[in-house]
Amino acid sequence: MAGIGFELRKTFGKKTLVSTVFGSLYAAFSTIGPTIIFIGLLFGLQYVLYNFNSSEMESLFFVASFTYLFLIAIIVATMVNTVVSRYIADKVFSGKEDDICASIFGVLSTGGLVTGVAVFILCAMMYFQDNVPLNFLVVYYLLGILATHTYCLMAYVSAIKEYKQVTCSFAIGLIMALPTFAIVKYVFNFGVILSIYFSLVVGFFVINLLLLFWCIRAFGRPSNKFFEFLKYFKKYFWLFISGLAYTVGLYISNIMYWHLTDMQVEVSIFKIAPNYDMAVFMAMVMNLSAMVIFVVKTETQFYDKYVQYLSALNKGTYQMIERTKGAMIRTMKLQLFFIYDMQLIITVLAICVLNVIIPYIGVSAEILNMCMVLAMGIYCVFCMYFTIVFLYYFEDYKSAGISTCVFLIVEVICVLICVNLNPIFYPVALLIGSITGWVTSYILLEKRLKNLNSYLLCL
Amino acid sequence: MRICLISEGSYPYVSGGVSSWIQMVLKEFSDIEFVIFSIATNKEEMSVLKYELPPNVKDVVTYYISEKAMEKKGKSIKLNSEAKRVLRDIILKEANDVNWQECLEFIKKYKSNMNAILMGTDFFDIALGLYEDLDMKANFNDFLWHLRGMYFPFLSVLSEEIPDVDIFHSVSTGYAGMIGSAFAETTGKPFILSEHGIYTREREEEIIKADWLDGIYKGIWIDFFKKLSMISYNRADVVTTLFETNQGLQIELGCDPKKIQIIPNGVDTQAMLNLPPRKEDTKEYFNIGTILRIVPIKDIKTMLIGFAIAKEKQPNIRLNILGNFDEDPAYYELCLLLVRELSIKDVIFHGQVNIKECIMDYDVLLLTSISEGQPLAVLEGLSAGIPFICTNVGDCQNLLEGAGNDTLGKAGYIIPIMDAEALADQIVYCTNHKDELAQMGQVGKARVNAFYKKSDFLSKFKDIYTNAVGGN
Repeated sequence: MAGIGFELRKTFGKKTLVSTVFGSLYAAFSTIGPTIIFIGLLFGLQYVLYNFNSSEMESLFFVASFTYLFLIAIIVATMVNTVVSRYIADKVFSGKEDDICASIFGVLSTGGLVTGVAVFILCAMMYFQDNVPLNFLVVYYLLGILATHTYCLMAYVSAIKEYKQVTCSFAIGLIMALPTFAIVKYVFNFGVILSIYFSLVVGFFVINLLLLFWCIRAFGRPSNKFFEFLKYFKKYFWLFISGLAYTVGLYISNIMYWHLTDMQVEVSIFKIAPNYDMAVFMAMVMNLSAMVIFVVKTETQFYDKYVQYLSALNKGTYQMIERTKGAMIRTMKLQLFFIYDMQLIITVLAICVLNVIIPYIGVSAEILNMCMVLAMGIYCVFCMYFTIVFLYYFEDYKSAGISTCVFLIVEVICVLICVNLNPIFYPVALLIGSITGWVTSYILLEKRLKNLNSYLLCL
Repeated sequence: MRICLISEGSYPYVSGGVSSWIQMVLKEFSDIEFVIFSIATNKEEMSVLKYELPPNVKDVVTYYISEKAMEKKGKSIKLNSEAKRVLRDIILKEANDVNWQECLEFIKKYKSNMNAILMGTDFFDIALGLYEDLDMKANFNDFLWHLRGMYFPFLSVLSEEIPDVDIFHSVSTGYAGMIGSAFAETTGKPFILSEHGIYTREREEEIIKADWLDGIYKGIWIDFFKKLSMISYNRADVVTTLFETNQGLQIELGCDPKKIQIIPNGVDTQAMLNLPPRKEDTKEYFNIGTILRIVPIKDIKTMLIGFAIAKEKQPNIRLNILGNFDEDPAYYELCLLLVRELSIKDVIFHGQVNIKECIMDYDVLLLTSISEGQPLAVLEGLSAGIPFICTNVGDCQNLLEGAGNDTLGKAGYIIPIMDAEALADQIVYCTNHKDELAQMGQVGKARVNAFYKKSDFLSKFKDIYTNAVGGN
């Protein structure tokens, strides 16, 4: 999460129309790229399965296994990326870009290892419980690691300006997946699900190779500090916790409902709650605009004032520091409340539109009801995230970590309460957790603003 | 008796006047046990002993000021209101108004958290208060770091363990004097301060010359060092100085005149009686010697230029530079380069030598320093009967021309500092007035015998030590 704004400023620094357009798209992509990729692939591939007349069980197995795999990749990559973003920013500042390049290999190894262990356990369970064929397990295992690598590389991608090439890399990877799918499906006569997974392995492999190429080209030959970034987990412990708790919090209600409610559907070793999951993913899509508005408008407008303040802090009199601080806080609050308001309107409108179109898209009333509450929940999660980004700017990682932990803990408690209630209350857990986290983050932000000068000068 | 001798940037890692003085004290008071508390810059520059430690030196504690990094480590510290008041007093109050007992108790309590305190919000608030009081228009961040830079060594050196001794004896004010005062205050033991140069003035000159320091901060740093000196002057039971001019400066800086004793340096005149005669091969030249460390403060460049000018007028002269050139290799290289560039002939860098074995080989000795106290090298030269040409620094004029009830006459020539022409003229003059030189040599010998005997110096310090312990 941290460090994205930093790179965007380079993008926006060019101040040309083309770069602004690319900058906007790129901003949105960097921020929630992993979620977009996951949801996009999930819906897209379900459509593929539907067209290949797959059985309901096959379809369910695919959705469940795919969700588990990508959830692991997203959580592991977030765990690493939050801290690595800070590492990259520091290294760029100190001009040691060869260390950044070296850390790519360290990050890929670490991320791959963690995901590898988790996916291996899933594979072992599938093998021993359901005798799932080994060729599927190998492909599944590889995809888990490759998807993690792709997500990890996105932290580095956010630090290079070659967004055209990066976008092309994704396009080439996905395009490569298509003929691969055709070959393995029709030449080697693989099953549909195995063919999909195999083509994704090829696609993600190509994407990773290309991303790695652009990163190495941008950062130069690697130094020998492959694992130096690991020190940052200790140094920026709260930043790590903040990123982890945020991501886990985003998905914990799904994970818990999979296992604790009668909404669950069990297929092989996987348990999912398709209706609730669908509602969450739709709620996320309804709030995507917030991420774009935040990165394109809020963060960039704030950034000018932030730079002025930092400049005064480094080189100005105390009067200048106070003056620029006042201006920065005014802009920050203006922008923050703008996005709170604007996204609220967008989300409410989206809910209204959803109510109108729902009969035509074949979504059940249960999903609609849950989606309405979850849309507000995700709205609050994103609002909390925006507030936390400002805490990151002020290097108050502890407050950021506390806020996301409050969000996660309250949400977990609420889920435990809600599982005993009517399913209609299930989405309330995310809503209450996110409101609590949002309020906490705002209170902590206000607290930080009161003694910001001394805090930043005493770091 | 056990004494803690506190040095700063000198003994036992840097040779020079103060270090030689300490070595002499250590050797001569062989019945006293000493603990050396040496405040040094860093291990890279100061880890090799430049002196052989006498057996009565029981311990050497070295505090490396630059090795302690000022960065935030561990948990933040929030001081209670009382501790905050003490910290504010240390920073804001005049040295005379600070309750040093309280200060030391504070330091003792927060010893392991000094970094966190200086990097914390309490220190920030105090700095901001001072910034506003001074109505500063400077960069606040710089101001804060300057203040941290001042008080970090100040507070962290005080957090060192206190040696178990009977007397604390510091050979300068500054950090050394401050820590001596603090240790003495804490333990109730006597504190003796022996100033060779005037620390405050030396720092003041350095700060004024420092082009890396903004003008606005020069005054703040000078005041800080004055404050350090005031701490020592206030706490010291006895303050010794080498000569009258320095006594005046100490009084001007706030030292109580009643505490000050003038104890000039002394040389062993007996050891100078049976020196080896002048070697035959040195007689073909008018042989000039200089006994010094090859460092910028000795201004060897002016010496070389002056010699080169003199050499043009009087070719039969030779310059012998006797002394260590390890301390500042870059400066030594610069001197060699100057010799090559100016094609100066008959300049010999001898390195470290036994002075007694060669001192009689010279017709005259030179000292071109831009700052001195009461140089032992001059006293040694005079006691051997060799006249000097000295720049007008420290007590050199009194050593060569006498002062007060000393009517013995001239033992050498005084020239202005950094004046190569004057030096050249004086060298040429000497080559033509050898009889006058011989007479001056006798005057120098008599002066040292009368006023600068080591025995006198030792008995005065013995009395000070004895009285200090007896007084407790």
